[in-house]
Amino acid sequence: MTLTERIQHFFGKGGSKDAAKSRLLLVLQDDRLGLTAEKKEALRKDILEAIRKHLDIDAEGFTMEFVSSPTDQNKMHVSAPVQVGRGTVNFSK
Amino acid sequence: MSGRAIVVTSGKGGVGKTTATANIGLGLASQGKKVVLIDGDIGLRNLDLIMGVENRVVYNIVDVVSGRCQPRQALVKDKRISSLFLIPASQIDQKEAINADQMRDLSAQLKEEFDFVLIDCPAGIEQGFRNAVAAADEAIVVTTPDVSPVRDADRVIGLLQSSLGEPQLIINRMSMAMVKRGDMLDQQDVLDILAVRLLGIVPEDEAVVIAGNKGTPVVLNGGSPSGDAYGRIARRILGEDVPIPELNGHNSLAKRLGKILFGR
Ligand SMILES: Nc1ncnc2c1ncn2[C@@H]1O[C@H](COP(=O)(O)OP(=O)(O)O)[C@@H](O)[C@H]1O
Ligand SMILES: [Mg+2]
Repeated sequence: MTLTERIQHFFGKGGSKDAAKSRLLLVLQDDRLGLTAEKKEALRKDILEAIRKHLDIDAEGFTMEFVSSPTDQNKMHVSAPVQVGRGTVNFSK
Repeated sequence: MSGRAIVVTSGKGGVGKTTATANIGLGLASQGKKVVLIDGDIGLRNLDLIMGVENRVVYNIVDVVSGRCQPRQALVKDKRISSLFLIPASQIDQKEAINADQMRDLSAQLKEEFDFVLIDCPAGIEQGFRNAVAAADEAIVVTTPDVSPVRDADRVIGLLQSSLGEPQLIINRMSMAMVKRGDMLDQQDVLDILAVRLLGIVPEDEAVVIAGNKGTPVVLNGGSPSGDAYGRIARRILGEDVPIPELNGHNSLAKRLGKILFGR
């Protein structure tokens, strides 16, 4: 154990309960929403398509994930790299 | 008179429902209330053993609902407190031997005579669970501070919400040493996750095992940490404002320093 870990342990931080809490918050979010892997994939596809109707985005870089931590509870993060024009745009000539 | 019917449930098995039912029942009865315990775990009868009245069992709950005996005949009187009774489960029948309507009727009848009807629910969320919940007006959910029981408790809380509203929570088998090390979810963690009202915390305690061996639940012998915790829980159920001791495992100085150093 490093000194920092020792100190963290003394204050009840850095133990396995942090993993327990964050893992539970995540599975419970799925449980409560009734979200199966299948449903998530269908949702991902629908969102991707909806955005693509309006914007040129890179399907490869598109991600959708659910987060839930004690500080940031129950959020869905969608990240879509937007293609501005063709190819890489370099504004800082 | 109409008493309160409370189901003690959990989803996960082995977290302490039967122990809780026995101790809460004895706690309420020792405060002068008329209490009947129903063992709802048909096929896996245990409450009579934990209560130490297994030798007095004649009829069981299946006999009652199928009309083989009167409810009165199936009531097993407690050895210690005269206002406490138990309706045992049947050891040979299946959960399907009883349906939700029959449980509801039985509970309604018992509520006429008793201040409290406590129903010890089987594990799972199938027929036995539905029967036990049908008999109740309120619910107590028991969990331990481990990942699987907490997840299952969350599921059960979700299922209860449509029928009985928000249950109250007992966190059982809390180990101060592990909480201190940061290796066990503490009371605030569990409440952050489950977002329900806390009825009480029961520490991990050898006395529970010894009590089981003897058939004399811990609440009967003051002085054990678990017995005292159940005594406080019974008083809270009766509406007394009994503070829940801070069992987070940190002394306040370490806690404050920890906050400064590591946030949260
Ligand atoms: N606070 C506690 N400390 C130590 N052991 C406990 C505690 N509560 C319950 N137990 C033990 O856990 C086991 C399961 O308890 P039980 O009440 O039968 O659970 P359930 O009815 O939910 O299946 C029993 O062996 C019991 O002695
Ligand atoms: Mg049990």
